[in-house]
Amino acid sequence: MTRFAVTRAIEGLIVLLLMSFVVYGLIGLMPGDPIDLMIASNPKLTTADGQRLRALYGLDRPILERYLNWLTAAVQGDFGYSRAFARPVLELVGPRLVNTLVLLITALAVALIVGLGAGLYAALHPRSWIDDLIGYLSFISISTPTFWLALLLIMLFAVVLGVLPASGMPVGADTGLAERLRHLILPVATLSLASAGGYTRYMRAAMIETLGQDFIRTARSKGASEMRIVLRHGLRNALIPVITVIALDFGALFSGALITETMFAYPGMGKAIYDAIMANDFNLALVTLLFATLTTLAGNFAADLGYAWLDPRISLAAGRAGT
Amino acid sequence: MTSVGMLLEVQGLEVTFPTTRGLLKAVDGVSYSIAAGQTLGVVGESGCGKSVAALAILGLLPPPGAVTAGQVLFAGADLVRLDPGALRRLRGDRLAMIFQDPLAALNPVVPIGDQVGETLVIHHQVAPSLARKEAAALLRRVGISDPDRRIAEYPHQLSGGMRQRAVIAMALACRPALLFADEPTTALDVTVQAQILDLLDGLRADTGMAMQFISHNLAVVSRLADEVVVMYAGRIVEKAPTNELFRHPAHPYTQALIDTVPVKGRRPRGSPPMKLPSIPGQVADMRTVRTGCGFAARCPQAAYDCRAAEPPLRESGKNHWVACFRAAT
Repeated sequence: MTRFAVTRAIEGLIVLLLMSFVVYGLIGLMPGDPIDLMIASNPKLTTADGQRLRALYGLDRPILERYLNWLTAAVQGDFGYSRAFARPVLELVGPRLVNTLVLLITALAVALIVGLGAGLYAALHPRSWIDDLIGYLSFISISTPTFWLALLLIMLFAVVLGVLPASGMPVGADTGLAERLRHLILPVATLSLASAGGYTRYMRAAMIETLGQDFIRTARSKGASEMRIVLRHGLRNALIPVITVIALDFGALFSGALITETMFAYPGMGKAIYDAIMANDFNLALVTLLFATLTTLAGNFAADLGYAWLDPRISLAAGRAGT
Repeated sequence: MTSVGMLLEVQGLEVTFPTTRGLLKAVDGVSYSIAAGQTLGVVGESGCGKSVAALAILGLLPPPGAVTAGQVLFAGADLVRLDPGALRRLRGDRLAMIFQDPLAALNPVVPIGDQVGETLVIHHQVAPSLARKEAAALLRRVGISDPDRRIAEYPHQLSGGMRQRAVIAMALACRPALLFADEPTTALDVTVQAQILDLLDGLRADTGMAMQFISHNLAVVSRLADEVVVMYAGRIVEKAPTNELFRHPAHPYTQALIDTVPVKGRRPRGSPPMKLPSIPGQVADMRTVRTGCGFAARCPQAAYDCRAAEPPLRESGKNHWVACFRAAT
């Protein structure tokens, strides 16, 4: 199991490294560079000044050399300065990162509890009216766009009822926890409702399939109670395919988080990525985009670990292959 | 008809599955009994209702199947009318079952030891750690080497023969009075088959339990059974002590079944050398309403009366019952 986790972690780091090069290259392909912006905003600068500045910032070097310079600094923890905000990138990204992670993890937890719970209930009461209701609700959840759902929730809870704030999550440590939580409710609801429907459908299908397996009949022949059959023999097997789907969905959840942040003017990574790209802020864009990659990789890594924990055939096979 | 000393008495058992084309009677008025410590063999082709009958007795019928008539007396209680909780308490404790495919029958993500000892946890409130120790002893008993290591392993790490041994150990954990074995050797190599049969018979003799051994393989049944029931299309067509049945098969279907068993040094009756006879046709479609004998369409001896009326099960010799108009009395 440990060997399996270490192997997967190393694979993840390699992917991250490759992605850093790809992202660096893509940013290099963007039209214009920071010097163009500087010149455009200051009529006193001449083309010659531009050349001098490019040499000063190392922008006249080949892209591979620039990338290696950036990488050398980055592995030492120096991600450079944000040009647009005139602050170190990490200092700028830190609090936004925390905000996004809070939104993402809370929404994932809510989506898992609601989705897996509803799916499980539906699987254990197939073709009941509650199963039908859960089915309809999950299809609505799957087919509703995040931004539209956000608008509806804002209209209902912020405009009509006026019970929850539509935007303005306070930045800084001086605001109370209750106030922060109040600001989290609508974004988390938006994001988790968009994912919960899919989880419900997958959980229901996987559980129904598992309950039709021979080993469930064996458990019944041993006199196991329904509770024991579902929890001990069914759930673990049913979760194996569901985990895969959740991992694949994690990237969508992250991009959903960026949209949700925009809708609720939530001070997270979503807005940082947008601002960085629009301002041609290389260093900030790099870090924010790499963070998006890292999030997806972390989701897959967690899924791999969950997979290996649930299914002994996977961790054992990987362990044997390694020795 | 109730006789003294019988452990299990099945009377007029009828199992029905509603289908889109009408009711399907998978088991149609089946009666038999098993005395304590005895082995009853149930034989017939696939789809004759032999497995469904066993599942019905244990209350394990897959929905929408249901017992629609008859009773099953076990230790003074009618299993058909017992409330589900009480039947559940008997299952795995007094009544146990072994299924055909040991890999599918075992949970892939639960260690062998936990699965083998599970009935002790369920029925005797044994602590799981203790149950695992007990499982190791059970595995040793069914001939699995190094059981202390095996209890921590998963089904996919065991060979087919070992898995079936583990499934047998699992069924025997609570020392059941009656074991249903549904084709327990079909998924195994021939050499392993013989070992498993010997193991089952040895364990039955040691523990004094009774066994209902279900198989399509007459040769296998003849090794273990004291008495054999032959089923065709949901009904019993012949019932006799094992030796009597093999020496004097009375029903044309039983005769045909015996002829299909290859025997070294015996040329099958009425067929050219080196060619194994088969039974022409296939098992009757049980969704259509049937008059007369279910086997008539495939029977070489069938006459008009066979198609007109259902032949009743009658005693043709001592303890030898047959449902056929053509059979000699």
